[in-house]
Amino acid sequence: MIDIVNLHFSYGQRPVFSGLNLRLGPGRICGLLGRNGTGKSTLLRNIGGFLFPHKGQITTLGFQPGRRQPAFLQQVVLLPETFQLPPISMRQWLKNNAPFYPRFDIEAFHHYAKDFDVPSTPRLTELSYGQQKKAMISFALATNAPLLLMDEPTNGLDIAGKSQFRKIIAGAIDESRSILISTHQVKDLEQLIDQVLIIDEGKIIFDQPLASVADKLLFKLSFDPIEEEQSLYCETSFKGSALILPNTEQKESRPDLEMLYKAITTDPVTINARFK
Amino acid sequence: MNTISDTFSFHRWWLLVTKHWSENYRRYLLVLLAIGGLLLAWFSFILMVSQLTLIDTFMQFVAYFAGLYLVGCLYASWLFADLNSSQGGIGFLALPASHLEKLLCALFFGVLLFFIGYTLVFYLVDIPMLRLSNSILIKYPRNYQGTSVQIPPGPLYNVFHNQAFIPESRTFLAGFFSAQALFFLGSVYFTRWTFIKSVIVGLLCLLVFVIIDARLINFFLPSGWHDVFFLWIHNDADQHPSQYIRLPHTTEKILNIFIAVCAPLFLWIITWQRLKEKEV
Repeated sequence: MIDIVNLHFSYGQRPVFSGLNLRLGPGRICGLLGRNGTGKSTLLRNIGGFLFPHKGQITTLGFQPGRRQPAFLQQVVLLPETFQLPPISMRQWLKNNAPFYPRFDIEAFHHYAKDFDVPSTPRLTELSYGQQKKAMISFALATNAPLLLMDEPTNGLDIAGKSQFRKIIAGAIDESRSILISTHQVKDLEQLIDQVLIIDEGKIIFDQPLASVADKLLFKLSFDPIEEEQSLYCETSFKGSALILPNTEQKESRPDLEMLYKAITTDPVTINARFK
Repeated sequence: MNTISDTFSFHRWWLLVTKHWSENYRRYLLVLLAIGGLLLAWFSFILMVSQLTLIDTFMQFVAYFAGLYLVGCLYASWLFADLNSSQGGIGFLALPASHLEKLLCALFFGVLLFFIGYTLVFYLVDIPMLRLSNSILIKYPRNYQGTSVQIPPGPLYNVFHNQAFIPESRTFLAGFFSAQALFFLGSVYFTRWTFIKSVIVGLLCLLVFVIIDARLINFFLPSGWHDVFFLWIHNDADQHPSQYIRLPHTTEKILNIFIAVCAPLFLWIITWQRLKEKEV
């Protein structure tokens, strides 16, 4: 679905990517995690064809994104972090935009918008930022595009909205489509994503399915100092030490994305070594 | 490789046109109303202060072209304003239509509909104001200054025909499309202050043209001759024009066609290329 080979990109003299490689298959909800300014949005815009690689090659759904062919734009929908909606009614907005997407499902849109509790107002601009975002997410999902790129989609959503977001996205995915979600709010994607990508200093420093993370690493709370010593990553608190341990005995645990993220950004070599 | 349907589909272009109209028609109607109001105010001002000919052909010519150039170029700068911000730019570029369709949609509104709309509004104001002006002249006749020749009622200015005393009228009309095309290009080329930067580039182009016209061409002309924009005039001893040479009618027509068609076409093609290369 997405194939990136040796991507180089910079803003003027400031390099963002220098030799980034990435491959993403269909049927995935992939979380792109990273600090602010590490290039998450830049990567999404390169994949979506809004920025052009200075060196290297990107192939998205068999297209060269930078050419922005209509057939490509019908299949790859980018939901940016900030956007502008016109001062028209939702009905008119749908009438104006939906025909550009041959697989647009109007019933699905209304279903998502209802789940998100998007109110009906005379003009879209009268909706709050969070409500506008919910309308945009509903629209993006209703296009039935095989690839959705979402840049910080939970920014601006209230607590209920974040929970609705996880529920709706989980229900919308199927084997024919993939969703790449960039965020620095790791907690928002827990129990949603099935592949973790961590980007740092212009490179993908971690790229594993969540199932593989659960298979190779054990996340647990412990008061045992021996376990603490054996841990790959440790965070101490009054409730005990939160540990990431090698999962040598194939025990079941739920990966804590925030801890995983911190562990990888602290010592990527040790963590990645467990996946070889 | 791009196929024809990747580059242009009438269906997608029409979808773009209807979308653009639905999202912007209120603004367009307001702009046209504002233009009408400004023209009305200007002609009313002329009627109040003019001691002589009230609204004559030259006055209509100035009002028409000043408004056309100013509003037309401002409007051309605004049509791609979405590209000046990443949020608007992504929305614009992400819409599943080709760059050519997006450009042709902007040209449809910015060039064709704007020109028709502006000209209609101009005449909607100009015709009744001219009638009013002429009725004043008939009711209160007045003479040209220092003569006993009565000022006749003014004729309606036809923007599509050269007038006897404004020989460059059609060149002005032709030049408008080139000037506007420059502002289209500026709005895609520059990311901030697009109108101001386009004005500066336009003035620089004009300066280069004037330097070539006034200095370079005059340098090659025989003594006593000077160049006035494709017209060469010889002055007599009292510095009055005694002879002039004009380009053959066909050549002049070809030059007009070049200014009216080739120059904007060239700039639109560059705008299309820049649109393809635009990053947000």
